[in-house]
Order: sequence, then structure tokens, then C-alpha cells
Amino acid sequence: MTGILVIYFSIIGMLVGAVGMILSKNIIKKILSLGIVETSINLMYTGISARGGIIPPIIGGDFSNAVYADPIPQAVIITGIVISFALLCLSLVFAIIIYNKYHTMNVETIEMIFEREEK
Amino acid sequence: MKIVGIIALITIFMIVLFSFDPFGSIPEPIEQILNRVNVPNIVTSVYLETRLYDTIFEIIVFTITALGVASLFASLPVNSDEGQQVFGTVTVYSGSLAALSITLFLYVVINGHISPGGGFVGGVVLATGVVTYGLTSSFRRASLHHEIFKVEMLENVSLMVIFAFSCFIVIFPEAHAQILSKAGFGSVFSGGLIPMMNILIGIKVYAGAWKMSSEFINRQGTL
Repeated sequence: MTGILVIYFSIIGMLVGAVGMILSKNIIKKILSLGIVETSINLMYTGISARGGIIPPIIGGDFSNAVYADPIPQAVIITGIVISFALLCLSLVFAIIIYNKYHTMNVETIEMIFEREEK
Repeated sequence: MKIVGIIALITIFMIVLFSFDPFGSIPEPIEQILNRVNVPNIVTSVYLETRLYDTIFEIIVFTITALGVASLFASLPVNSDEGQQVFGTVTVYSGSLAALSITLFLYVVINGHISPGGGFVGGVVLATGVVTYGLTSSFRRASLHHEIFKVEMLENVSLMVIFAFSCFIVIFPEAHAQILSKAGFGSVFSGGLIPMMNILIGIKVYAGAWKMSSEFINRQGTL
């Protein structure tokens, strides 16, 4: 039951992050929204793995299959965590480079500067 | 245009929400993996044994990111850290925090296959300790260890050895299964090549994370 609730909350989190990415004009806020989406996806995988049971899959003494969380989604999301970290790092570097070139973080201002440069 | 985008987004999420079946069948693979790998932490045995290809490419992605951050920042000027302001109490605590993080790194990395932890977690723990020390005490002293311990060379060597071990596990899975089944279940030496892989991944992740954070601190002048 906990797992299913977590999955629904994570879908709401993804929606919030995606709307934030569309609506915000500041590049840093866009990157933060992307971080919210990625965290929600990690949460969703954790919820998927907790559907069968919520005990961490570290086998101690006696073994019973039903109570442990599913280890496969947890192992898969490690890849997702590393890739989201890499994405955030590189997008922050690009944000810094854009700020040093145009001295603003506002996307609309940057677009105006682009149009002026093209003319 | 934005409204159209938001409506499309909400529609897609509604479709996902209503087509999602939370009570679908749950696979029960734990027993098979446990019999095959013979390591208590099933998540470690999945990402370092049965899904090893994933981990190899993950490490490649991490390396390329560290390289990309360093090469993209190369065009920006370096800020000098001569005027770093510190508080006395924080300096004392950050030194002990760095020592604690080194101990925790060793524990997490060596016991990664019998308790929660692993290479990625250990590397991030160590990098956090050292970066905190650099930010609160002396960034110059924190970056000195990079030359003293030859971290760059260590990083490249560990990358090569990780590839070699991965190739061994992928090409000769039976030989590795024999190594795994020899020691007793749950002891530190029962992991075969898995603890060594964890140590090397920890060093790799630490070196990459330290390189990226020090680039951010150096070029942006957060001190």
C-alpha cells in the first residue's frame, strides 16, 4: 500500500517539475525543476520496488521471499541517479557559460539578444 | 504557446495515471539471484554481477561528465582564493568531519556487499567530507592532497582495473561464481571481486566528484 501511494505522489511530483520547467523563465529555476522531475522518477522506482514488501533486500538469517523489496528497480535506478547527476552538472556548467556571455539568466532576454545579433 | 504545452503535459500525465496498474504481477527473482551470486546485499549483486553492463556504462558516463565539466570550464578565468574567510570552530569540526568521512568511506566500500552501501555511496561520502573541509577551512590545503596522493593517476588506474575485472566477470561468469561460493555466506571475503570493484568505483567516483566540485569552486569563486 505504501509503495502505491509513493508512486502516485511521484507522478504528481513529475507533473509539478515539468510545469515548472515550462513556466519559469530563469535558467537556474528550470534546472531545479529538472532536478524535481529526476528525484520524482527515483522515488517512483523506489515505490515500484516496495510493492511486494518494504524490508531492504539484504538477506540475513532466514530467507522468506515475500517480505523483501524488489532489488531490480533499486539496482536500475542507480544508473538513473548517476545520469541525472551528470545532466545537472553539465547543465549548470552551460548556465554559468551563458551567464558569463550574456550577463543574464532570463531566457526571453537571451532570445532578444540572439535576434538582435542575427539582424 | 505555453498554455498548449501545459495542457498537453497534463493530458499525457492523465493517460499515464489512468493506464497505470499498481496491482500488477510482482516478480520474485530474489531467490534465483541469491543462489547465483551468494552475496547478502541483493542490490549490489544485481548491479555488479547480473547487470554489470549497466554499471560499466554508468562509470563511462561519469568519467565523460567529469571530463566535460573540466574542459568546458577551461575557458573561464580562475578565481584566487587568497581571501578565504573561516570561523575557528568550523575549522576544528570540519577537520574531524573529513577524518570521519574517510573512515566511513572505508567501511561503506569494504562492507558494500553485506550491508547497505557500495562504491558510488562511498565515493560521494568521501568527496563530501573533503569538499566541506576545503570550503570551511582551507581550500588550498584540501586541494594539496590531489598532488600528494596522485589522485588523477589513481583515478585512471582504477578505471582500467574496473574494466579488466568487469571483462573477467562478463567473459568467465562460471569462474567468478566459483570464487564467490568458496568463502562463507556473509563474511567480508565472501564477495569475490565485488569488494575490490566497490573500492575502485569508490576511488573513481571520489576523484570525479572532487574534480567537478573543485572546478565549480575555482571558476566561480564560491569561497
